[in-house]
Parts: sequence; structure tokens; C-alpha cells
Amino acid sequence: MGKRQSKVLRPNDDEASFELDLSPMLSLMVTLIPIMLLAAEFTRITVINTALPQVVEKAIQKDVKNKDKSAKISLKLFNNKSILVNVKPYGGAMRNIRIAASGDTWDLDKFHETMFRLKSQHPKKFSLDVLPDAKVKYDDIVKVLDEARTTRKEEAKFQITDPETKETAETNLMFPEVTFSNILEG
Amino acid sequence: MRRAVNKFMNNNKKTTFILQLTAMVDMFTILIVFLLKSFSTSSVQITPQAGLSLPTSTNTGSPVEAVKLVVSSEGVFVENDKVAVIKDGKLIVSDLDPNDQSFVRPLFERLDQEAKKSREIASINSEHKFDGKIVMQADKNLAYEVLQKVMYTSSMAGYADLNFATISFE
Repeated sequence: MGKRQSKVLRPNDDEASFELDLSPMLSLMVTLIPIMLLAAEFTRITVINTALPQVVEKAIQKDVKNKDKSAKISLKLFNNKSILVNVKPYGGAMRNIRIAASGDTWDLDKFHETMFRLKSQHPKKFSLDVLPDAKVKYDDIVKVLDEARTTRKEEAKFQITDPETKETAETNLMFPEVTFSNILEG
Repeated sequence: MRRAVNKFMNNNKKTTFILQLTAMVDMFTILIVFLLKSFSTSSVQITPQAGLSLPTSTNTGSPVEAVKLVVSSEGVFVENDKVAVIKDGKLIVSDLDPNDQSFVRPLFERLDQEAKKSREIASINSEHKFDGKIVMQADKNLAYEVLQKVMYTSSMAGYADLNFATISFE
């Protein structure tokens, strides 16, 4: 009797691998991508809200109702890139702080320091009157407003206490409300 | 001969082409992650006008639904209609009122038309109110005197709540 060669059954190595079915994932992505492309915003547009000066009667009414009588702060921007900060505390003497140009550019660092100091002295004041000269560029006005709007990251935030609820909150806002006061001058 | 043909046929089995989807899924994953970052759920979207350089700002105010006013180096546009011409960074003399150099008559007439339309709708639909809001896109290189005239005229037309559109600086 001849030896019968036994066939050693080896397991089929190909069947041990797990093949991931990517079709559902691909279907999901093909659906998601057009939706997201339509809703994508590659340049984010924000808006700076400004109020134009009110007519005289309304201004008087607002002033009467205005409970915050800390100070009136105005900025005058000149064509030579200097800034004049005018502070009129309620019931106090007016003072002017002049910030000269730094070479041929605005000295925004010094301006920011000045506004930070003013905010520390008048923490409840959030509005500014801005009076730019005719030839001041719009871009420069926006840069100046940016420096007056919020504190910088390395600076301390301001504490605000709500007089009604007595709750204290921190804010990095300095002077976010802006009014262009020389619009009606013509 | 027949055996050789059969052997050849058995060795050359039919093969199917398996599409490699891994690379495509990788690409889609990266695209989705990028688009997730740019995804915006804001109901109001402001599209910058072509050829207009908006200033950059650290401001975070959200856009509002309002009359669209564009002040570019070529002219003043209200809802994509050109109403006034700007030449060499200044409004042309013929667009200015002879009695008031800050008053831009064609701009006033257009805005007045928009205000009347809004008020008419407000009189019929109680949910709609005329709020006097404008979103202004202005070229960053324009001088304040041009903007001052535009803002003055807008206030005369009843639009006292101006919102300056800027590009968020992140």
C-alpha cells in the first residue's frame, strides 16, 4: 500500500484580513462637502455700530435720562496723525491730552495707554465722540477705534457692578460705543 | 493541446478591479475639517463688493440685516445701484447740492425711496419696523470727508444707525 500524501490543510490567510467598507463614509462626505461649501465663510465680515448725533431735543432727553454722569470723552483726529483726547468730567474742569504722531504714523500704543488710563478713572463710561479731520483715512479711523474699543490680552480686565443686581462681571470692553459728532457740521 | 488550453484558461481567472478609496476618503476628511472651521451659521451674510478694500478690525460685532450701502473709489452704490460718482477720492460736484456741499442729492433720493418702501411695509405688516439701519462698506483708502458727506445724507434720509463693515482680523 502506497503512502497517501496527506494534504495539510492550511488556513486561507486572505480570509483573515478585515476589509473596511468605505462606501457609506464616502456617501456621507459627498453629501456634507457641498453643504459646507455653500455655508463656508472664508472672510469674516463684522460690523462697527455707530450712532449719528441725535437731533437737539432727543439729545437733551437722553442727557436727562443718562444716569452715568461720569465724563464726556471726545477724540479729535488730525490730518498730521496726532490725536487730541478731550475729557470733560461731570462737574469738573476740562482737560486735553495730546498724542503726537510717531514719525509719520499714529502713535497707537501711547493712545491705547491713555484710553486704558481714562477707562480706569471712568469705568462706567463706554461711549466716545469722534471728530476726525476731513483728510484722515477711513482705515486709520478704524485702527484708532480698535485701540479704544477693548483692552489688550496682557492687560487686566475691568470690573463692572450692576447697581440693581449687585453682580460683578469682568469685561475687556473700554469704549465700544462710538458717535461721529462732526457729521452734522457739514 | 486541449489540456494546455484548459490549463491556460484555469490559470488566467477573471479578476475584478478593486477601487482604492482610502486616498479619496483621506482627502475628503481633510476637506471637511477645513470647511468645518469656515462654517458659518449666521443668517445674515455680507458679501464684500468686488474691487473694494475693506479695513481690518478686531471688532466682533455680527452683521445685521439692513440696507446695503457701498462707498468705493468709483462711486456710491445703494443695493447695487450706482447713485453717485467718486472721482480722485472725492464726490463729483454735480452730485452735491449747491446750497449744502455735504448733501448728496441722488443718494438722498435713493435712500428716501428705500425708507418709504420700508415704512409702507411697516404700515401693513406689524412685525416689520423701519429701524433706519444701514450697513456701509467703504474703501479703506477713502478720506473721511467722503464718508462724512455720505453719513450726513443718510441721516437726512432717516438712516441714523450706521454699521461699518470690516474684515475680522483674527
